Amino acid sequence: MLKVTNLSKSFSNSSILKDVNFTLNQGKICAIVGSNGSGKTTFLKCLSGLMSYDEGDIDYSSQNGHLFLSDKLNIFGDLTIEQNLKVLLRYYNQDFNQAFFNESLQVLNIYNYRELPLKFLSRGNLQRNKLCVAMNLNWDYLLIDEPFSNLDYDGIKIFKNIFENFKSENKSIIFSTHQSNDNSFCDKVVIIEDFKEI
Amino acid sequence: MFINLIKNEFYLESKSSYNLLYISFFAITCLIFLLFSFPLSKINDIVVFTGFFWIIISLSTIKLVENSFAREKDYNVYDLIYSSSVDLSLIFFAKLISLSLILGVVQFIIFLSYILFSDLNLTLFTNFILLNVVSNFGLISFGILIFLLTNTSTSKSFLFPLIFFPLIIPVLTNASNILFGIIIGEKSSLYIESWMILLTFALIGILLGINLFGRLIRQ
Repeated sequence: MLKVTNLSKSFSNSSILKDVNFTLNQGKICAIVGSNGSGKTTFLKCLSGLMSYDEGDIDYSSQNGHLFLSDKLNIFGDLTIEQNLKVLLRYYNQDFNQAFFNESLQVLNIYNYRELPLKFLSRGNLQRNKLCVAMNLNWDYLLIDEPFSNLDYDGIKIFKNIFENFKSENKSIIFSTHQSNDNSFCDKVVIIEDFKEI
Repeated sequence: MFINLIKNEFYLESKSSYNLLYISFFAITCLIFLLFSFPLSKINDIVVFTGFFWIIISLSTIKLVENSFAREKDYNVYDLIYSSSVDLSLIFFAKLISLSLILGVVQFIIFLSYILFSDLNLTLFTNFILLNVVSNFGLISFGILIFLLTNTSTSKSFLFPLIFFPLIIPVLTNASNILFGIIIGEKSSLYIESWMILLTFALIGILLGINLFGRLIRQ
């Protein structure tokens, strides 16, 4: 279970997160909804350990830890999808599975781009590559910032299906979005401004 | 795990064509410089070479450290790497060792080119390698820390060389001093103070790196 207690974060004198309390069990999908600049990314960065926070406590009681995918490209531009993944797997001290990798490329519809350096891929396909990384790494909590940006209708459908698959494997997903509609596939939707569940 | 991180650094370095270009450029510049300086007396030749050698190495250090982080920041894979559960001091050590080795290759190319144009003995290489190992650890560890200090959202990247150069002047002068002694065949014991300064720099750089790398990454 992920348990956040009294988390506070401010930049200069501006308070972004104030006494946030939040829990999420394993195998759940949670959407963090809020307007631009409301602190969604800051919250995810604090959860990822990438950003220090002023007060509070974040406790993951899981074996495989978490994976943070920011809203940026998250790639080594000169590498192909496979090379990029292999480098990242080495950082996470995990092994590469060629068969599963090929399968994930097919599922995400990016198999035809496997030979291209990532810098030549479109934004939508780079977003799919991000999820390919998530599929091939082992984690218990996926923290993903704006996963549906730059995706077409089919892409969004594929992503939601993959999220459902993660859930069935008892993995949890926390993602941020500024769209409050169509989050019906989520177990929990939280408004970042007051951290109220809807 | 540590071996994997070093493998990553070498792999990414080999994919970065710009680094090879810069390194080759510096080596060729050095060679051309030496060719033009041949009419000088032998002693002038050695003095100029030792100083010039370390200036090139310090410039290569800046380029290597900058590129190592630039390829992580260009497309923001930085977040993905540094939010992993890997001990950040291991990443620091992996960068330190791999960049020191690459810098060592540059030093070897330049020194070999000098040896080819002079009548020096290859037995000098043992002391030369020892000198490079000690000075490279100091240069790279301070380079990494100053790069991270000067590349926050509130500071500008041009500050890196501006702060780095004055700080490494003791390394450059003492390393030049020792290299001069190696080339003219003097005993190492005559340069014990210079060796100690280089060793102190390397040790302080490594200790600061272990303690500050994580904090600077997660600022």
